Amino acid sequence: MPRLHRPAVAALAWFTSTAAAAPPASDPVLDALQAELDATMAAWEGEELPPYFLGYRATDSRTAIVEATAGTLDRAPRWTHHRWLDVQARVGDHAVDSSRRLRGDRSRGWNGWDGVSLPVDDDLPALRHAIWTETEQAVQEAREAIVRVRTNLAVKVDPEDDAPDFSQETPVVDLQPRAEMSLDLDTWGSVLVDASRVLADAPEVLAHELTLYAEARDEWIVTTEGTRIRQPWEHVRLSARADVQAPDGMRLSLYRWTDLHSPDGLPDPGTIDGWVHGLRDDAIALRNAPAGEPWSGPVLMRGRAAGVFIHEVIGHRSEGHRQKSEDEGQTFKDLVGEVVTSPAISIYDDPRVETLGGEHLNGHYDYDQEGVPAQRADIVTNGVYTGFLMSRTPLPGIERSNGHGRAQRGRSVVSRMANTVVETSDPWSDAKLKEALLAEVKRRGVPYGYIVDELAGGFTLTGRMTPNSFNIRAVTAWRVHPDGTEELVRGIDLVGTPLAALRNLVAAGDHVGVFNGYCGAESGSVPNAAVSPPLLIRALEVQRKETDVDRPPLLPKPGTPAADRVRHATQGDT
Amino acid sequence: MIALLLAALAAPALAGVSEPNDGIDPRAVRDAVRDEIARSAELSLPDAAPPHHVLVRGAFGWERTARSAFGALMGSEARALDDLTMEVRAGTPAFDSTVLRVDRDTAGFERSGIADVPNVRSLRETLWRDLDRGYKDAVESLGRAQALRQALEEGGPLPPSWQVLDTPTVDERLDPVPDAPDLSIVEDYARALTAGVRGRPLLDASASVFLAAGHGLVVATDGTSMLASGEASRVTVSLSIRAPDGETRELSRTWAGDGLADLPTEEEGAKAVSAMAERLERWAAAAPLDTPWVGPVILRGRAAAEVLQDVVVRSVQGTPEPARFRRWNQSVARSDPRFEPPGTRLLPGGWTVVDDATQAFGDPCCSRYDDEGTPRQRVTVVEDGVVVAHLMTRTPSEHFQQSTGHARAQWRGPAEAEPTWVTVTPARALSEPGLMAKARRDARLAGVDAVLVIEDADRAFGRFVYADGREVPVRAFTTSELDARSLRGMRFAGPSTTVEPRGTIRYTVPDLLLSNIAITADEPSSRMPEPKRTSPLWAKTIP
Repeated sequence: MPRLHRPAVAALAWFTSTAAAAPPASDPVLDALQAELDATMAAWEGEELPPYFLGYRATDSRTAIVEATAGTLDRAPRWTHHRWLDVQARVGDHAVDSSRRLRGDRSRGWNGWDGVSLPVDDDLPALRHAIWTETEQAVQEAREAIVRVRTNLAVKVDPEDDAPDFSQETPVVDLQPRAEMSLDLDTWGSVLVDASRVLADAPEVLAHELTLYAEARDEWIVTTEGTRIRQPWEHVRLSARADVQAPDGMRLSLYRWTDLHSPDGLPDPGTIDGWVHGLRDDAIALRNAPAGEPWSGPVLMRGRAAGVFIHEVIGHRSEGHRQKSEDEGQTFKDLVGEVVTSPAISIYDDPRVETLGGEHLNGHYDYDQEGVPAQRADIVTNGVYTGFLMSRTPLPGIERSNGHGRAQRGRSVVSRMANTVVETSDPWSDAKLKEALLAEVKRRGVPYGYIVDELAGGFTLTGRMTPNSFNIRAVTAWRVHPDGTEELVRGIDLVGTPLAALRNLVAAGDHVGVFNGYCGAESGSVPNAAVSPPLLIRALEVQRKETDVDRPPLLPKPGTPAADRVRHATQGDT
Repeated sequence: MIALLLAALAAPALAGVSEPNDGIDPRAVRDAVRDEIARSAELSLPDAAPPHHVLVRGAFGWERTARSAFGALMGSEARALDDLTMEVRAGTPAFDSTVLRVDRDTAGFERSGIADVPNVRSLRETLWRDLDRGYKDAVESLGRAQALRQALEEGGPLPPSWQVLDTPTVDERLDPVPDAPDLSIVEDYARALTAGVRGRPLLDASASVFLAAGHGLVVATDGTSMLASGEASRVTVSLSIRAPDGETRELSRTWAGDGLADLPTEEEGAKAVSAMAERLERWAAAAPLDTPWVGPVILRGRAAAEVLQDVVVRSVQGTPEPARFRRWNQSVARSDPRFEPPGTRLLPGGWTVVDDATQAFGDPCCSRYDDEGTPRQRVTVVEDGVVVAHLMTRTPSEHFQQSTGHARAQWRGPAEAEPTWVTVTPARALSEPGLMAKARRDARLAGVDAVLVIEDADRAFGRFVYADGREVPVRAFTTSELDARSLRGMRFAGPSTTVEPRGTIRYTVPDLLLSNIAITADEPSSRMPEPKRTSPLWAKTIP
């Protein structure tokens, strides 16, 4: 069940208030990877069942975090440094190799952590030992796997899918400068501490935090095909969260956040102060808003919501590996060349795009995790379904990757979205979209329509054994009554099925909203972006969000006037 | 107390880090906790009284960790020590919400962190949220227990849920907390421990170093109020090797103390690690046991402590198991106690077992108070080989109702009784040559020509000692179960040694001679394939 969500900021470590140290000019990690690659292949030369492909992916991550709550530092400023290695060994040949899933095997395979930590010291022998340990195991596992694959092929009927197991790609050599980041965490700590007091002072806000998270990461990809890549990735996220609880027990979390490729664009203290005041006011308004009811009718997705809608409805279903699995619904497999939505709509995914609509896009990269250059992949062109996001796992008739092989460290690569972008050839203004929404409300005879602006994320079910559906987790949504008045509601999810939802897409707006987040699926959590203009959907269904049944806190929040009154009463000081 | 609190945190915190809370007045933290638990008297729900007992336990200060492998740094962290646990009990001391445990948790027990730089406001907010949640959970659990009370008492009357103290502990021992060392010092120390074994044919040689210092507190609604300062340090080294037949073996060792000064120096540590590597190499080079063998076995040091811990000490840890609530059919099941009742014979006549933290206050094993704030007591648990007392917390059992000061806080559940420094004294201790002479006589009677000597905790490392003094290492064997019957039949013991087989608990135990122990060849469940080539780090391989 793939999910798109805001990342929970990982708990990290190591304190210093200055910048991540600049990496040295030499590259022992690259040297160690290359040396072990060469030594391993030489050792297996002429042997029975040798690997035909060996690939290493090493990640060096320097992360920083500072977090404030209730006027103090919940996490004092600190940097941490980690390195990881992923090894891919393939035995057999490109047509049939050890990675092939056994037919009739219903298990989903190992989806857990499968990498290994590497020393953070640039200690060549120690690095090589860690790589050697993991390589020995990976090659042995691949040699065992190919025997099982060949037996399985002999026992089962011929598969429908005759595509090879691994694509042939042109090797790439591109050693880019190492990632560097400079960030004054102490100053940021002070800014966040000051801002946190606004949320601490609000009796209705049960918990809150302001977090600055930054990562400077280098990734090496070295393969027996000759690929040698070193690419940097820099990411900064500033976020604020406020939790409230409605009188009926429903817990609500509201966020403000921004994702950037460097600290340069971080908002100033005045802007952050505006954030927290807005967050506080929105959270209180939402807490006091009525809960939504089950309903069906027209919906206008705006802001960040529209992109997530596309991500869940069509994005995951366009990931190439889903067209191979006999467990998958394969919604669009046989719809290439068919009209699936409004002819004004085009959808593509392009990891090369760094910024759009003035915002940095989370899904930007130069090479995917298989070392293939990032490329634009068209999914829908003028309403017609055009193609899939491809990793190095080919499909019948699609033998090459388009640079969408992605994975979190420690996970196996599959095809994934990066920056999914919706465009329209017929942009409508906000006023025209709302007018059309109201017209649809009247035409359907429903009491109101919905506008959805902000959401917590979404998920979709793409398998055959479950209803092929999606769920958009709305946070701020408005009922729009026939007279045009808008009423804030809480606690709704928007649900539907993909083909019907796309065919009900009526029109798109004239400006874009960007959702930057992390998407979780088979290959782990990867950063991505969903960019879309507002979308008007003729009909979607609303269902109630699950709710807590606990009463709100029995005592007033400490430090607030109500709590002080109770305290004085307890001490007989009234 | 602080040492114990810090030690309790050491294991889960090894992956963590942070910055010292320099300048934080621990009394301000204590007062904030007092204020918020005083407010908990106002907690109420329809048909439910306020909690009868609320306890907050906290530790705050700094932590430093570093991990190395083969002399290279794998990671390091500097963070705050920031643990906060809460216990909320609903009902009455006679019958309260801890009677039942659902899944692995007991309702009312919460765990949070303290802000890295704590202030009164953030601390009180955390307590406010967690005590509120804990109280609601406890009330719900109490209701469940009351509904099932008849079923709970089918196996006999329940002991009281909680011991009310006549005189709660009030103690304040604040000392200056040392500054956190520069992280690079901890990193260099970790590197030094494993750098000396780079050339050896090991699969892994890793070290994990943990240092912490700060303040600890226990504050409860019954008036318990404790504040202390302390340090903790711990190093764990782990090595592993592959034998030529594919069997792999790990050997680890932990040093614990009250600060960096209590740990071995870089040279001492490296030397000990080198000795561990040599031992593993000898193990890998040893022949695997190929035929079953029955004869006398001498358990020494950690091996003896492990057996006594498993068979004797576990039998006198007196905390009763809570009844388990089964969600699927809304029923309860009372668990069989793990302890043996008073009067049970565990050891031969003349043997005694004493737990006594009072002999070494300040050592990592032996804080002045336990995690419930009860002063430590010296307890003779086995006299003349027979159980006479249990180690107790404030959770009474059917046999004993008073705490002996042995509470060890658990992860989201009531504290359990845990030993501190256990001394096992035999009726008569032989010298080492005397014990070996007895063992050789047993070997002759058993019709074998050697005595098996086992010294390591998991009993994987052994050597046959022949009459002519030859010693032949052996591996890949399993001993028959060493149970209470084996120990009751034990006839001879040797000189005593003091070891810490696990964590900070200390054992002073004699060498044990056990006769007619069956040893069988151990077939490992999986063998590691022979590497295609040797590691570039190795200078040699196992022949």
